Amino acid sequence: MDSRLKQALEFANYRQTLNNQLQELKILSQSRLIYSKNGGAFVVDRSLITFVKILIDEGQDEVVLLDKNETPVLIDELDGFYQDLLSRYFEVTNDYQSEYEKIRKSRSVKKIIDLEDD
Amino acid sequence: MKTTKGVLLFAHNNEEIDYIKIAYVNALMIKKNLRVGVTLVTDEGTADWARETIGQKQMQHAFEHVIIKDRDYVYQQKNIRIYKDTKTKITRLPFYNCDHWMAYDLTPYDETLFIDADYLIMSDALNNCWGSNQDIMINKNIREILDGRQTESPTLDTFGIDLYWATCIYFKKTEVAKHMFSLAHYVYDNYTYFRDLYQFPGSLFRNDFAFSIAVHMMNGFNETGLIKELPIAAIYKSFDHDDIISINGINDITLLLEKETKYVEFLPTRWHNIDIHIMNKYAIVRHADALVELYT
Repeated sequence: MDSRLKQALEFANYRQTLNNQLQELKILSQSRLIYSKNGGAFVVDRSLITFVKILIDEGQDEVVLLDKNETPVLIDELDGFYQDLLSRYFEVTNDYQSEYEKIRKSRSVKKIIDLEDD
Repeated sequence: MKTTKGVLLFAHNNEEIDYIKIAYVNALMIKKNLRVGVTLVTDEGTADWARETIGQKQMQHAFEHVIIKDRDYVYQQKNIRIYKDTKTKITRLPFYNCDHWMAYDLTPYDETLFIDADYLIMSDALNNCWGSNQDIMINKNIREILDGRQTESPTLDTFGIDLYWATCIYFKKTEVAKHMFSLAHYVYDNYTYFRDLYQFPGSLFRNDFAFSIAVHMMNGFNETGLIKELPIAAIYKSFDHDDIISINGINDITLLLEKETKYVEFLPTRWHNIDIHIMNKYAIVRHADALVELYT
């Protein structure tokens, strides 16, 4: 096989591994961003955090929110709920960023999988 | 009164697949990650095998209850499926899965996570289920662990009802859940009729199909409504063409995934802290001892 073609195919393999490992990381983050409260399951995202903050700013303390399954869930102590959402969101996104950088900087299939430093 | 919660596993060995070893490994993983008790439903022959090969003390450590049910040997010889250990080994063996509809009556818990023995619990994600406002939760959302690889059809047949995965079911001891399992039992008893009615292929009895039909009935013969999905991102699955190549640590494994476009060409993937349905049972058994050592 032509050496240029061989190199290109090896690079394609590396790209596919890289993509798959980044995908795995995304899945892990999505999974950790599900948060249960009072029998409901919420996806912690920017829109939920912003909405809850608006409600707090409006002076609300007890509200009904629709969860992941569109089921109404009564949330009392809205401020505590907001703090939980924020801390979960940043805990997960910080981990995501740090793992993402490790994988992104890996320059070979072996390094991507072993997560060795470059 | 405090509600009880726990995981229910079923395991019935065949000539080659040591399901009870897989269940034993998974029970240890469940105890580590979910921190709840595990109950095993099995048969006398499989339990005897476990006592010999795993040990009585070890079984008692992994399972808080072991429920023995009679095995239907006639059914066993009729329900034959193909097992693959990558594409290098393809075997036809009995698949004993006819008792899953009994889960509601057998579980000792108020809240139960009923999972397939080979759905390896590598995270605490399912702890989001406990105390749910739902009576029963089951997923139709399933994803392949190799990005871009085709997974099974999302419906029973091309124009059919949604396919739900009995890989993991959460239920409470309520009327709604009881009816759901009664319907799954009814589908099991009349499987040929339902196969013709819903026009799905193959003669193998699949709990995924039985529960999909039960969900369809529970939803008022409609596609949305009463039965909701689990509070997880999705159920992730590998193929039986894939293999586990190493156990790196707690909740951390490396797999070789077969590329969709190439025959017997693999891509390595490190999988950690996400629950995964491993379709290659031989691969789990090969690494069972390493997993037991890690999780004990």
